[in-house]
Amino acid sequence: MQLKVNNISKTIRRKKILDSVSMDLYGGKVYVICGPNGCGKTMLFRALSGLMSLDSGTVELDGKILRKDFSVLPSLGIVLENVNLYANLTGFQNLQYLAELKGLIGESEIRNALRRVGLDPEDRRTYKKYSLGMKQRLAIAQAIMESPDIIMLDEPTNALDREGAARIRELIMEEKNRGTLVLIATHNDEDVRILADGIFEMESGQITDYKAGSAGIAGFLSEDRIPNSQSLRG
Amino acid sequence: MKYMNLLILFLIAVGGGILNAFSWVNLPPVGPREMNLSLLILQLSGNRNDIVLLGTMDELLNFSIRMIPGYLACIVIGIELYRHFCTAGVYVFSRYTKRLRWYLSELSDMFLSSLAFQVLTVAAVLIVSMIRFHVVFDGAGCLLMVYHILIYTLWLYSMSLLLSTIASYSGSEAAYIFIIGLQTFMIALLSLNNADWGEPFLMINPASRLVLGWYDSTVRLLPYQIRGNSYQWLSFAGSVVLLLAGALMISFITSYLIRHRDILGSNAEIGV
Repeated sequence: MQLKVNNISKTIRRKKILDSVSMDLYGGKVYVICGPNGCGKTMLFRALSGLMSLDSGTVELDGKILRKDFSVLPSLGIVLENVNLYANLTGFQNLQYLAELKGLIGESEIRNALRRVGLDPEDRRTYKKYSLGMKQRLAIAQAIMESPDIIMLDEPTNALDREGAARIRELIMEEKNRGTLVLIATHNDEDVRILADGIFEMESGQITDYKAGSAGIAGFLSEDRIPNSQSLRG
Repeated sequence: MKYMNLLILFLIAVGGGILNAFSWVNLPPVGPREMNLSLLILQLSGNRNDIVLLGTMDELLNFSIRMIPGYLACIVIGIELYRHFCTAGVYVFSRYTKRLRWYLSELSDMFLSSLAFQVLTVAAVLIVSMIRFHVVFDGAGCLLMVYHILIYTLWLYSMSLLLSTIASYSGSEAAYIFIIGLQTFMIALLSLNNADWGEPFLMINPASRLVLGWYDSTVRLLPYQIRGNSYQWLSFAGSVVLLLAGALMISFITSYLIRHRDILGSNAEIGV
């Protein structure tokens, strides 16, 4: 599986939030996007998923063009910062509602996803009573429950304690080994060190650098796609 | 959650129907304790017994009160679609590979909900009226009932769809105020029925289509006379075609908007 990002740009309210971003991403790899707050990491996830239109450029999944051949990536699990789930439903009910939209999985898969992130499927507390860490775990559970081909996680270990962060990292590695393309935006050095096959540095909507991560050597960096052209391929 | 909304809609339809049956469906002050179905339906759409809506402020206020269950239904039906854009919009839309196909299925659900609401409301009015007095099922009444349900269904569908679309861009509060304000404004303009120069404005006001007593077709259909203005340009088929065209136009425009809508905000209510 290959996700090919070709010179995508997006301007919102006269501010260029993505500026000629290019990347090549492959299944079975974990790519980490690093950069200061507001550099465009979340917007990049929205653009890559199809949740946001582009001013120029294309995103291709195995040759099929996003927002032309499909509205969003067909097999995607995504977690974005500050996106809540339904306040008056329990964790299980939240996942059950979302799972019904696609109808791919049943209760056993939902329970399994909850257990994998360290939540109790039988917990009767509603989402509004969840701690920040529990909310984060639930968001990750909704992203992985349907075993998608692509997973995008915005700050996945944020708000988690050490044990929780370790569990999520382990889960990410399991997903990678299943052949999933995992894309993570993070500030956490440990995430980068343990998980990254490839690291993209981002600043002011541009990819400014790419390097292979310690978890593996990923992709390639071609001469015609150097930082000056705001386009790097991993 | 969908079933909860359907239950709420059911309760509004039945409750609103019962309330309307007691408040607005009244026997003539003299005569036998029976009423033609046709007169019952006309009373639901503005008549005061055999007098059609005149357009006085008092009558228009009563007409607006009749519409309150419809306003509530509009909010419930509109929310069903709009809420996908709120709280968990990212997680909902990341699961719909073909957003347009999803939207079209939501539109058909919305139309069916609107139709079910109107059928239930009329059924509740009918049952309560049959308990209160004898209802004579005349042919004109059956035809009027079908047109009443069709016209009010198309109205409710269009308003709910507008509400959900505005809400997904500007938040629910702005949408509620706009949609209820719009309907109240159009109903207030029905007062032009009293002005000699008002007819052209009534012609372009879609709310005129809601007053079945004003239809020339109604006057010709009924075996008895009703009092008040009637207009030759108001025909059942014409109104259904016009409201259907309006509903289709709104559906088409909103389909385009929704298809190209960026799911940027994590919460459309607060615009994050």
